[in-house]
Amino acid sequence: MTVVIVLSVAVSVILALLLSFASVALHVEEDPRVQDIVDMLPNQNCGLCGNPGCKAMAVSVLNEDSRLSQCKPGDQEMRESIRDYLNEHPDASGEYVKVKM
Amino acid sequence: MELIAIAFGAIFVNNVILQQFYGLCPFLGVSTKKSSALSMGMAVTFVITFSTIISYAIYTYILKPNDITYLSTIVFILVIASFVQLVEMFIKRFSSSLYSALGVYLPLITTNCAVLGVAIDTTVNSSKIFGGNENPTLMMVTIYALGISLGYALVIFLFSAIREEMSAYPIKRNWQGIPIALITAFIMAMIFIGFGGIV
Repeated sequence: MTVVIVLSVAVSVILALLLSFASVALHVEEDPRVQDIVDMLPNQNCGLCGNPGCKAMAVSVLNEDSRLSQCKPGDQEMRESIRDYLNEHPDASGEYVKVKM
Repeated sequence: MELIAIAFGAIFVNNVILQQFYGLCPFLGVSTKKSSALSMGMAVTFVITFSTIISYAIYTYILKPNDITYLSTIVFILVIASFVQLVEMFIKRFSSSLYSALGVYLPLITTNCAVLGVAIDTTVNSSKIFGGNENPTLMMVTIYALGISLGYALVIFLFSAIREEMSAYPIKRNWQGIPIALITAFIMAMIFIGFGGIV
């Protein structure tokens, strides 16, 4: 029993350290709005919008490729909050996203 | 000599896709372009080789002496998932075009049964793979894992080359895409049975 606990803790901690080191060493700058939109989407990763997962949907909304109503689990409240968010936050060069509802 | 036999058997005779039918999801999903198929093969090669070496070390030196081999599946999956995460970060950092080309199939390497299959075959089922040898050496396991993953990369690359070539020819509409790809895979599997006669 002790061995099981020690082993699982040791393996998890070693792998976690490896991954956290890698995430710092291999960090990629991306649009900070992507994560904010992902947080506002339902995060069920159902794929009903036609994109593979909510993160892809967020990127697609930022590229003006997808309409917010494609997100089936999302309600009117979610669509309005994302629209308001994007109307307040332009990208680095000051351009606003034309949100398709 | 024994190592050559293991490598040849892993690449051709027991080919992971066409004879064991593991890992068919990315085989059909990412094989429409040669370049993305090759990078998928390389990503899988990295994950299979390193996760098998680490799984082997954990199994031989910790799980087996302490008689807790029932933990093997969960520990192996943990190792595999971490390596896939590492590969994903690496590819995202150094080639974002490749990252979007591989798309959802990259995190799906975690659930690719070829990876867990090799890890379990070389440890728990090692007597079946290495002809009754219950305690294979690290060298044998590494060669086997490398062979299996090279077989995977070879077959997915050949398959994508055939599919790329085939897309230039007129094919009946209801045979386009996956149906004709599955027929191709079937014919390739039939051809690979021929390697069984060499050993």
